[in-house]
Amino acid sequence: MAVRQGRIIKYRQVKDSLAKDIEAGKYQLGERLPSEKELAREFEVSIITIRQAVEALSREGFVEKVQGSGTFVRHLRNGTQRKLWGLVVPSFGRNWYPAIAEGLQDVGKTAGVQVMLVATAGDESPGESLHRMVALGAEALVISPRMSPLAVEPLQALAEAGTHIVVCTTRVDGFDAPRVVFDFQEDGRRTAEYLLGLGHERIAFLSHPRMPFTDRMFAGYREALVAAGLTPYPQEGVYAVSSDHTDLYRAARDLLAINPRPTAVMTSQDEAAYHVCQAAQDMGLRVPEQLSVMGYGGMALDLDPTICLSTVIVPKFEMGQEAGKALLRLLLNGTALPEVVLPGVIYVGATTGPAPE
Amino acid sequence: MASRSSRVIKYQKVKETLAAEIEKGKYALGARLPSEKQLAEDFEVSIITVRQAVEALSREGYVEKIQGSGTYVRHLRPAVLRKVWALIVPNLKHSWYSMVAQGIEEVARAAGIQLVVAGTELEEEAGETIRRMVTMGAEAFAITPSVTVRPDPTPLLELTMAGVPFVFVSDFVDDVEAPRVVWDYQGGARIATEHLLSYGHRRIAFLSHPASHASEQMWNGYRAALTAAGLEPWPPRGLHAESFEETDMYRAARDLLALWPRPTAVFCTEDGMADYVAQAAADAGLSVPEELSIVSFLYQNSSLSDCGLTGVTCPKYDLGQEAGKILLRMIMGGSVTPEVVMPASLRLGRTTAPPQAGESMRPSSTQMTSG
Repeated sequence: MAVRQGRIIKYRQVKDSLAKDIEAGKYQLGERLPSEKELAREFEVSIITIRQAVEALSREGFVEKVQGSGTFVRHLRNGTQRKLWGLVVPSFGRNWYPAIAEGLQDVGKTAGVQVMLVATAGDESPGESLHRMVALGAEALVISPRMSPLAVEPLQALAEAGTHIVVCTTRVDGFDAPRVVFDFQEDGRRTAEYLLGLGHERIAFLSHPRMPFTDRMFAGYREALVAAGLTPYPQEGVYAVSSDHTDLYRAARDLLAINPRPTAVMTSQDEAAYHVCQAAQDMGLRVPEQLSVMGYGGMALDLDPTICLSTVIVPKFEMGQEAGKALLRLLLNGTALPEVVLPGVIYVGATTGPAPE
Repeated sequence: MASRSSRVIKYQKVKETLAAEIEKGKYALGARLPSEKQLAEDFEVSIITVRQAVEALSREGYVEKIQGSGTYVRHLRPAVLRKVWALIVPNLKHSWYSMVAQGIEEVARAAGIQLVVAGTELEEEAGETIRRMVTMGAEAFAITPSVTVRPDPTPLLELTMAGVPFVFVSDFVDDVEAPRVVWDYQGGARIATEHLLSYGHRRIAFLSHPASHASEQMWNGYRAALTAAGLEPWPPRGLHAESFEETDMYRAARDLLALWPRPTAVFCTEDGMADYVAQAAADAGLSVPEELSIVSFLYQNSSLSDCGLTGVTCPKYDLGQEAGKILLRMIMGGSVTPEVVMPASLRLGRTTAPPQAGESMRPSSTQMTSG
């Protein structure tokens, strides 16, 4: 695998530097390129690699192979195709990626880059989607890891083979690459502080199943409470068995059945917050008079338009932009900031209010 | 361009045939492929085309070229990569496509196919993205044409000529023959307008983004509901923003509220537009929904501050699945219906209420479904 991938990368490196040579004027319009043999010697690669590189240049309209005569420069710039960056996400549906893609595109377009999106949900082998993007010609990848641990080996193999990689949304443990991440801990802390400011004391934390990022949110939440002389309520937080609607709803019911009942609930996800609102309504509780509810994410959800959820809007567009800037720095300088952390903004909707008497 | 593209397609076909032959066992693992000359004769193509096809197979891990010896079968299936379909959307930033993509992806995945999503709005040359995906071996396409710029049919006609199946999603391009999956724009506009009528509104305005297939359908549904109630459209031809630019959208919303007599309710063709109406209403000191009711087609373009917008929802995931199934049938050579219309339904938010003056009636049910 690594060998095959390595060969692909090698021909692309040759292709890219030939393209640069053409753009820089080393070969003039209409001029014949050196023979495959000469190029192979110049780049210290096999003739097969040269042939692949020249074929690729020809597909992009730079050069034309004339049978029995040689390869001629036909365009000084890539006539038909921009460069490609891949945005690799866990799955397409209901999530942050359109806004992240928009931010990435915003930076990429200034550099003549096209962005394509692929989801790892259906990968049949580890790293398939990453390899797919490289096979499509991507020079760089932005990866939003699955919330569960991601296989690090394919990432490392691609990075070693020369693909530029930036990680976004949350870090990948064991993979050292520039990253742009949400500030889950700070967001958790500020959300709890906001609820404390409204006079709440029994503030609960409800989450879908535990993951590294929910742990960071919980840590921030706990810090804020401890600083106010309080403790998490209940002590360990409440976690749904799965992210399914029924399990989120059940966890919300369980939480609201605790005696004494919490007066405020903060969640790891807007979806969980909607289910808390639903459970409250079904139990005859008024939001926000008897219960304040905070979401997290700020996604337009299809679930219930009659609830204007208070939430933390995470900076998705900015995340895409920062990832794009990090890629540009990697491509130009070979280095980028190791980590950019982007905190969210608290949005006060109609589901939070002062603590009940 | 056409010749370049057809050459690409030709090598692609040779590649697919060779790959299929390898999978079927015509060439066993480790076997040497016939010479390029022989293959060129077999396929009645040039040696260049054969060479391109073999290079592509080699990139996908099927075969390996050994200098001075020949080309050998290395895998009976691609080592890493499945086949690929492409979803082409106007711009990756629009969030509505994510559920459509999810629907297509799940159908594709079950068939051992991967989906790649690409946007076209920023491309320097029409068809750049489609041609790139064809070159890279995309087997089929789902395509959402842009409504902001007039789509160039050329790349689509190239797909047709090359026999690459594609399906239109949510909109289509005139004079290009392909099956399409669209929402029930007409039925959706009709139930939204009927909802306003049921509250007792009589002056219901129609506010649209620049005219498109969808807005024409919506106009028909809006007008049908009014006609059935013995009413006329207001203004007589509706109002259309001149462009999708912020200033033009806002100006259209302002013009709407400046109409005399002022409408008591408005139907918007998309929720981004509804945001501007809400803004213009606020700037004019009008309260929503007391003095102005707003309904809209809901694409999820609306900002969070406008959660609570009443409107017509479209089953995005189901639409994606339907598009995926159509592509599967096309690939298998089966017949497909030229148009699938997905039902739209009304979702009640907080932006509609009875008009202040005049008769009013509560809607009889909270959920109505079109067609």
